[in-house]
Amino acid sequence: MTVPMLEAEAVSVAYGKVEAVRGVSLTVAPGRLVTVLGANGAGKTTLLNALMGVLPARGRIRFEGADLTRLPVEARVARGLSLIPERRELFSTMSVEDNLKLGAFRFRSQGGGGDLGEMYRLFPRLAERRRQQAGTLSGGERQMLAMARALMGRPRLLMLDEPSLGLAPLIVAEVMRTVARLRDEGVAILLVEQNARAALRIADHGYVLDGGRVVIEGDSRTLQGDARVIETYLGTLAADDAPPNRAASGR
Amino acid sequence: MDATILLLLLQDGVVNGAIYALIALSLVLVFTVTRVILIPQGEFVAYGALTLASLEAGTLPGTVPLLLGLGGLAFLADCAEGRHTLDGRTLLRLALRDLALPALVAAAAWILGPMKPGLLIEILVTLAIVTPMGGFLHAVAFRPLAHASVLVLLIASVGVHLALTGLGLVFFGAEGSRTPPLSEASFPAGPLLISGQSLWMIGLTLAIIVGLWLFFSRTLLGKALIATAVNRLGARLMGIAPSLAGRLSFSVAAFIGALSGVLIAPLTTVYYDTGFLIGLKGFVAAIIGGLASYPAAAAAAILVGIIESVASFEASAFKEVIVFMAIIPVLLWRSLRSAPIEDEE
Repeated sequence: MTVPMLEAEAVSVAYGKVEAVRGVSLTVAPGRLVTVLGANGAGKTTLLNALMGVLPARGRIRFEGADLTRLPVEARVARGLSLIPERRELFSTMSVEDNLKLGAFRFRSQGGGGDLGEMYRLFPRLAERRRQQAGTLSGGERQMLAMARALMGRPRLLMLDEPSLGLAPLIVAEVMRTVARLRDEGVAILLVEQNARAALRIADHGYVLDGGRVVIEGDSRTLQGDARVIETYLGTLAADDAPPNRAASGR
Repeated sequence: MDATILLLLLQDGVVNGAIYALIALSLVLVFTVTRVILIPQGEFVAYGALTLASLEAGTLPGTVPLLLGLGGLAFLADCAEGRHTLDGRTLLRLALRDLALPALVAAAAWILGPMKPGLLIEILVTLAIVTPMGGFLHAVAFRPLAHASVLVLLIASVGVHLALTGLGLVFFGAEGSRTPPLSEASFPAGPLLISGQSLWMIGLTLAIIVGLWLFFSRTLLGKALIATAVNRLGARLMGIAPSLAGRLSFSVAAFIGALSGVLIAPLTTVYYDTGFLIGLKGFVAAIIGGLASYPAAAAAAILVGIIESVASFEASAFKEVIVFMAIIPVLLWRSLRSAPIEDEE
């Protein structure tokens, strides 16, 4: 295997006395799409936030050979990490175009950020809405804007937290296609999803998290055939684990 | 009170209101970006006025050693903050910003001061001395508390205000100063006599408002400040460091404060502690604007200025009381109109 791009070693995160992530190790190789699956409360979002530096973590996080563990969020952004959080965190009172321009903030002094025209080609809906406030967009459009804004920063590794959350099935498929295309263009991707079926379809490799630990790991084909994954996350998905309003997008 | 007196009072109120507007705008800026209620804003005003007065007198302003000291402290704070990423280049950048820049400004003040280079140069030197203090104060006193609650930040803010007032007494002494007006000209307009000074005040206030608007709507850095105010986490994920946004907003506040000081210095005798009351009146206006809206804060500031000038004519002993009481109905109205907002974080 090639030298990993992102390497997490025994990462743990605690909220007070509750350990939400317990000694998770994972790697993402350059240009690969890796997914982290798991039910609600398995620690997926906490793990991503720790990798991005939003939450303090124990353990060790390396990116392209450099130790990130003690760097703040902005320093990780400067190195090419990017996170699209579950709540998108758009600048709701600012225009779509301003949101995109701010996506390239890390290039403000040297140039070289993403190109607005390119984003509008990739997401034509955003071009129609460019003067509109981000807060007025629909759920799908917000996810598009969050992705385009992240891409303006030309990330080397893009981390997505539940991009399918709250979206209609057709939009989920579109989002997943876009994620797969980004991987094909060479961006390494770490995709956290509860929608295991959709995620495994496009992923190269996967981890399954339960109770804050990695319980299953393997390439996505193996995972799709793994009896435990089928039983827990593919077969009866949405029936027991997912809240009712997510059933539509889960199937 | 007849119409002429009312006109005079209105004119006076609008001119004073312009200063309160500048202060209210910087309070809104600093609060939305950093959640700090900037009590020491008034000290920037006093420092601006006193610095200009001592340059005018041909002496080295007390703010110069203060600037050098704050720069040194900020350098230490910056090094401590960035200890995990410190390399040669970063260290050089910090030294340039925190040590070399104040030294350069100090040298300029030291050389130009005794030469009495004229009001314009003296004003520029004054702005150059006071403006960097904003960023330094942020680095020393507020950045280490970035995750604290609004209440803790407010207490720190009161502490910084007390410290700066004390330092003002040490460096400038207890006696007040006044500077010559920016313009001796005056223009008759009906029963009124409009002074060149008041035209300068209103003109510069409008220029600052337009400048702020251009900064926020046209520059990426200005948009980054708004983005931080709208969504702190979203801004961090774009690589906009809260410390950068905080330092920038504090510097803008110090610049506006110093300029306000330069503008009021010819109108009233400024003492080391005069700024506090001026800052509070700006704060009243900012509160009326909900600490969020720039236009509402600016409009409220003009209103505060008018209330003050009418009050000082009708009941001069109660002038401050009347101004500060104006905030009560506004607070009542605001709290009845909106649901209580829980403190975030």
